[in-house]
Amino acid sequence: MELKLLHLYDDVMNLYGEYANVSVLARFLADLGVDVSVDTLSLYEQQDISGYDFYYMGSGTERKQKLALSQLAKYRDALSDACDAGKVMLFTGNSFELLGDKITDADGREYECLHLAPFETVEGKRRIVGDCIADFDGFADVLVGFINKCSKTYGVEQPLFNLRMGFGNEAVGGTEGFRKNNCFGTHLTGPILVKNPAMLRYIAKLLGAENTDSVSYPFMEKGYETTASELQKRLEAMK
Amino acid sequence: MRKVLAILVCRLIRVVGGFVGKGTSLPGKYALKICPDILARIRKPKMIVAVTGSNGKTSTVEMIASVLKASGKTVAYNAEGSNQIEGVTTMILNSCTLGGKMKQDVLLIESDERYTKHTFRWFHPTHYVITNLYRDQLTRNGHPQWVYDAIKESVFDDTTLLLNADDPTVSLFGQGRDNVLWFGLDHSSVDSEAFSGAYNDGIYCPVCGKPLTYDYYHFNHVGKYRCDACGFARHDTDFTVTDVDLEHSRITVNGKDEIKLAFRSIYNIYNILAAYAVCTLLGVPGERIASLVSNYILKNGRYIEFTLGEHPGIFLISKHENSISYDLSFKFAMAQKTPCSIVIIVDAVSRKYFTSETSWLWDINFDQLDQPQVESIYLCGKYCNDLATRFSFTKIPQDKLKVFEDIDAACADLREHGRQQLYAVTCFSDKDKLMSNVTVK
Repeated sequence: MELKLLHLYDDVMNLYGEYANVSVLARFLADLGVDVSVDTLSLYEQQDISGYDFYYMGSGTERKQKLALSQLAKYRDALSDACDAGKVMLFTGNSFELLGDKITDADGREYECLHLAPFETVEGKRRIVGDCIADFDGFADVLVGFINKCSKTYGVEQPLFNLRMGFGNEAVGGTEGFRKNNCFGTHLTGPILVKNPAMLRYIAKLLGAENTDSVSYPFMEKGYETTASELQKRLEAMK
Repeated sequence: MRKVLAILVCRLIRVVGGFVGKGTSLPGKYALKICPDILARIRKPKMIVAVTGSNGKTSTVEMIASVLKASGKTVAYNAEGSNQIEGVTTMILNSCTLGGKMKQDVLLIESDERYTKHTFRWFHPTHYVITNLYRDQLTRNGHPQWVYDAIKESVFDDTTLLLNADDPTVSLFGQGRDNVLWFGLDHSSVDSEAFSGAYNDGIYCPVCGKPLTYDYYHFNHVGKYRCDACGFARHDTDFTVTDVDLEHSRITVNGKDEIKLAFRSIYNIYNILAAYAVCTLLGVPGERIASLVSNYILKNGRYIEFTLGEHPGIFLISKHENSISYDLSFKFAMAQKTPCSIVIIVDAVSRKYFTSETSWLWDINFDQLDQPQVESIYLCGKYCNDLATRFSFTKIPQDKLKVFEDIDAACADLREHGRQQLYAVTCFSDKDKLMSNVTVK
């Protein structure tokens, strides 16, 4: 089996060590016996981005997110087609805001986005940061992560997670992220596939990998348990 | 009247707080409640120097104060590093007369980069040093551009800026301004032509977004850069390290003043240079500054020699959630070329707030440790598994790794085995967990 991964704008949208999402997925697939290749698309590069099995983008500063948007607009149809075709796509941090209708910045300027789904984002002057515990449909265990944003996202029809702890799309708790077919967006930042081995297996399965339970990384599993237990303690202390 | 009351209350709480081990920010907090504009009402010295930035604030302020005092000037400064408006207020109200007059020659302020706008809402510094802006404590700070915007609100036209010309984000503060003095390093033996680091925050121009070109890098994205699209470029410097001779632990400033380094780190060089610039502007002759900061050992203890069993060790205090501080600590350790083991501890991410966030480990360039002289690497503390996962994505042979959740057990293992040099790298938050196991020289 052969799988092609594309890391979009790894040069500007990589604020919280997020390149590791692609590194760990590539390693996991290879360890499962998949013939995997990783390409990157840098900011000013022109490339045919169709034909990939997996697309990824991480988060950037608010300015770099707009810079990315200025270049990404030309790939709107390719990304929309990939989403409609059920390709697996993961957008972490503020990169997922680019898939909605528009972003309004803290000064009121509006930026038209890719219209993959009818939601919109409004940036503010306050930073919204915090550790998160999330529930994901069908997962026995919770997911863990960190949100670091200055925006609220309104009008998401199909959110990705329910939050037990942390700030969701619009408010504390509630729902977080966005999903359409196999395209996933979440404000969770950083290497979420490293932090959540269950999510890594889930993505690999969606990509068609088999026997995803046959390979595991003990340090990653224990790292997850540590953070999950720390966050659970924190959640209980906050009650 | 409210002013006098605020001063009295501030001092009273300071004295009481001193007994119970609290007392740098609480007194100022109450004083500000009594008299919110107290900072505007105090008669301050003619010279007001502020220092902000991601790294180097405390060290730079300490050296400036030391040089000025040794040169016969009186200085009021926040020596205890309490650097938000409450701490600054405590310091000022404890340094003035009951009538609200400061008699010192210089007011010197270390200012928290994210909250500095609150302090300088009430008065403006005459000289404002901005050391650098890196990815630092992003769980609180968001990101460097966010911090840039926050600092920008504290920068006024009547202030002379002293900017690190080698840092592109810091240099942005000087755009379209005349009253700027620049400091930086000339091309030297420490530079590299190729970028090194796990991420590159200097890849695109902060002004126009087009690619930046570097002639050389001092470290990470700090170096000599230019944008061919818009003309933004590293500015010529007024205060310059013209020669770096790490082998003999010395630098030369402005082509004439030789300074001996107690600690051969590039951070130390920038801090010394910033202190040199400020003290020159306040009238201390260059050669006098050079002799006063030569071999200066910082009181804030970022470099500690110790022994553990038969191992000699050096503690390189770094900052969690600050990848460049780790990168530079490893760069220092690897430059010594001695057979060694590395001890890394990530147990409490912060001593001030809760977080379980370890994404920043992926921003650290651990591949620097892929050297034959590194015999083993101890990954310790609560987040040892996250460290081990991160290390599994380096080129370092995995059999060099020793993973210990229990820091005491890691130290016991070291005590029993070997005598090679140790370099211990961790944050203030985890420092004592190692210190309790070693003998400080």
